[in-house]
Amino acid sequence: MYFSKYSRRTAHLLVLAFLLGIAVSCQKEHLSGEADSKRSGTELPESAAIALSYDVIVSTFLIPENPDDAELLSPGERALASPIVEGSRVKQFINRDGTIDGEIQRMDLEGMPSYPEPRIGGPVMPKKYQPQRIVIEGGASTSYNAEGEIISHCFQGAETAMYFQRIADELSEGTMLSGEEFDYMIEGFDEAGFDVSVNSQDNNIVELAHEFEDARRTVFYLDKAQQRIRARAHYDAEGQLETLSDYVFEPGEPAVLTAHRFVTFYDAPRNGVRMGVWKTAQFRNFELEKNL
Amino acid sequence: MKNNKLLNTFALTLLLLPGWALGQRNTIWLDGATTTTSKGWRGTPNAMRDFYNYDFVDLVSTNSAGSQEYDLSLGVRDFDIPTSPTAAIQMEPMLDNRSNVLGIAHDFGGLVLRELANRDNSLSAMILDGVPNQGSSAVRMATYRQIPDAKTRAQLILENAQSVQAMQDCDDCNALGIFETWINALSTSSVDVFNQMANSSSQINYLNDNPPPPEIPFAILWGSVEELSLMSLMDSRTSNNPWSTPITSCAAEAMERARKDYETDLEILGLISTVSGFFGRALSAFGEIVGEFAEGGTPSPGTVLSAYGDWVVAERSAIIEDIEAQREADQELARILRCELSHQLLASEWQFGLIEYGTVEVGTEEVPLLPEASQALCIQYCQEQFTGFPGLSVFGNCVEDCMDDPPTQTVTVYLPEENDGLLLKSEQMLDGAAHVYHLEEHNHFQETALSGQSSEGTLNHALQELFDGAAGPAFAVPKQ
Repeated sequence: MYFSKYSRRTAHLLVLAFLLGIAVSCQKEHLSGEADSKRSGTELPESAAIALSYDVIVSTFLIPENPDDAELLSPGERALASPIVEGSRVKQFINRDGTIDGEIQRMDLEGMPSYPEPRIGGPVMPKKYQPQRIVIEGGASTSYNAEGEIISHCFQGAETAMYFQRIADELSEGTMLSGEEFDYMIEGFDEAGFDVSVNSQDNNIVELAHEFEDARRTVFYLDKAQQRIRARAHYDAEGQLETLSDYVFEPGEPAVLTAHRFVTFYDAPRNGVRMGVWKTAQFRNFELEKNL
Repeated sequence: MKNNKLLNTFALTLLLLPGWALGQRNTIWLDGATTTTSKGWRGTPNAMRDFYNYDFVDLVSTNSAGSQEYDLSLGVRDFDIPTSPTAAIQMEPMLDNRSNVLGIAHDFGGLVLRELANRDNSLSAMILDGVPNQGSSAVRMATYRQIPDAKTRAQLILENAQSVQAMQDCDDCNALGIFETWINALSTSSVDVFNQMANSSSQINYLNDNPPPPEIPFAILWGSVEELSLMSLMDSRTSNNPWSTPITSCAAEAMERARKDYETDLEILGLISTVSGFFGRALSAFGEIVGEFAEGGTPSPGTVLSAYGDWVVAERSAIIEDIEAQREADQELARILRCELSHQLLASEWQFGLIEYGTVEVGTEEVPLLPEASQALCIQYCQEQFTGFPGLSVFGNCVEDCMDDPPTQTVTVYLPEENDGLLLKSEQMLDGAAHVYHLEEHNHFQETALSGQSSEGTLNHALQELFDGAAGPAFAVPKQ
């Protein structure tokens, strides 16, 4: 038996990057003004512990759980199979006090579909209310529409700052076990009464399940090689899959988070088709500068 | 002799002078079936008179019958009981001894006005603003029931959208509830009138075919919005200022606040758990236990496992709490997604309802295999041959697809005919118009707006042009 450790800092940062990438505003104020970002690039100010930048493409769409049911859908449902896609270029600074500064700029990125407009099934909010640029500075975030008008403004709560401070603190922590150690760790869960099994299709995936008293069930899919949770599935008391959240890591040491996928289901009353509401995010061009 | 000649010239001049040159122009202004479809129209004549200084008399508002001057609910014509009074018949006494009357109408009022023109030659011209001259698919969607007591199609598509929300609270400022109130009002109040507005109704066929379209000059004002937003439509329904956006602003704020709450409180918990949370703590705890034992030499697996087992048992409650918290985080994301999608679905279904008898341009777009993350997953699955997560059968072919370079798929894109949220352009048009105005970025309810906006394409601009004689003397109204 041998034991090994290395920093899981990058993995934490990638997770954080995802969180920040979809950060938007909280209060609408119809004011006029222009965004004025004081920082450009990812050069690291003295107050910042981390600077990071990345591109993210987020897609939301609706499709039946069973593709064969597509013929039963109404035209309105079919139109929503073409995803609403949002690309963003993100620059973030995580300060030592847990506050965040940065900028999120919506833009077309390579690989995004370009639809003719106005199409049926587009975004709910009129363009005037869609954030095009979000500037986060001094504990507050301000959203601007395409005309540069402020459409929302909110302050980062103390709770949020504590979260990010905690994440910053954890960035220097982390443990990577050997394969043998990982097996022992999983065995410990088994002996403590958790439902543990090896996935029937892939020996590298361990399923760790917990059934709540009301018969709801949650299953975590643990990747032995990457030592990360690859997916988690929640079932209702009748055994129906409620949500699935899965993550894609580019293999390597450390593995890099490249995508996240989430789906929730509902039964359409008109045709009885079980529909999946999907949200996916893919990350590119991740860059990181640290001052820990 | 000379005097006679002068007298004749004067008489000829009087004949040639447009009627309005001699004084106020006689007009009648008719709004829609109810405020449900014609909010604020009654303010239009006052605005044109008091704000823009046109000199006319509104024979409807000055009628001695007061608020009971006419009843649009009597409709265009009752084909079941031909002797029944109609709104046009009821209004005929207002036109007694009048001539050169200009009729101006919105929505259903335009259909009544057309019938009045068929019956009474006092009317000399008409301005039809947002009138369902060819009938309305939307109104049919909101009123037609396959069998009595069944739900209308509009109620069914609303029910579908509500099911997406799964009866959970949705931070949308009750936008769906306001829509529900509106379509229920359409389906229950003055239902006969709304039935007459629906496309293919007997009344629409009668007005367009027998007798033929109006013989007097008429102008068409038709509205459209570039991007249909049901929230914007409801804004105009709920606010006295048709340009204010109480629902859209409120919903945008509420939805984004929910998303922010999710991001700051819940999603962090869920996402960070891929490397931390109970799983990260377990990894760290195991590593620390191994490290502690390693200081005294190489530990036996049994010793480490026993110590680690104690840790898991001690942490069991915290682990379960963590699992529950992650479940709640995912459910919150599901709630936010469903809330947004329910509105998207309702707007999509509504637009397909609008264009049922209109036109839709269908195109295809070749796009990267969607979703983007699936593409990455596909490639990973190709490499790992792992498809063991639940709920992914929809991507059953992705392993084959992702072997292409680059993988793409064809999606269908639907482009609707121009419309004002309630009526298509083709439904508002009528052959033979003397002049056609396009009211850009006006939804059906904003067509009644005279909020002082002076840009091209607004209702007041169109009416001013017509009153100033740009489309001929038939529509002219003098200034005070």
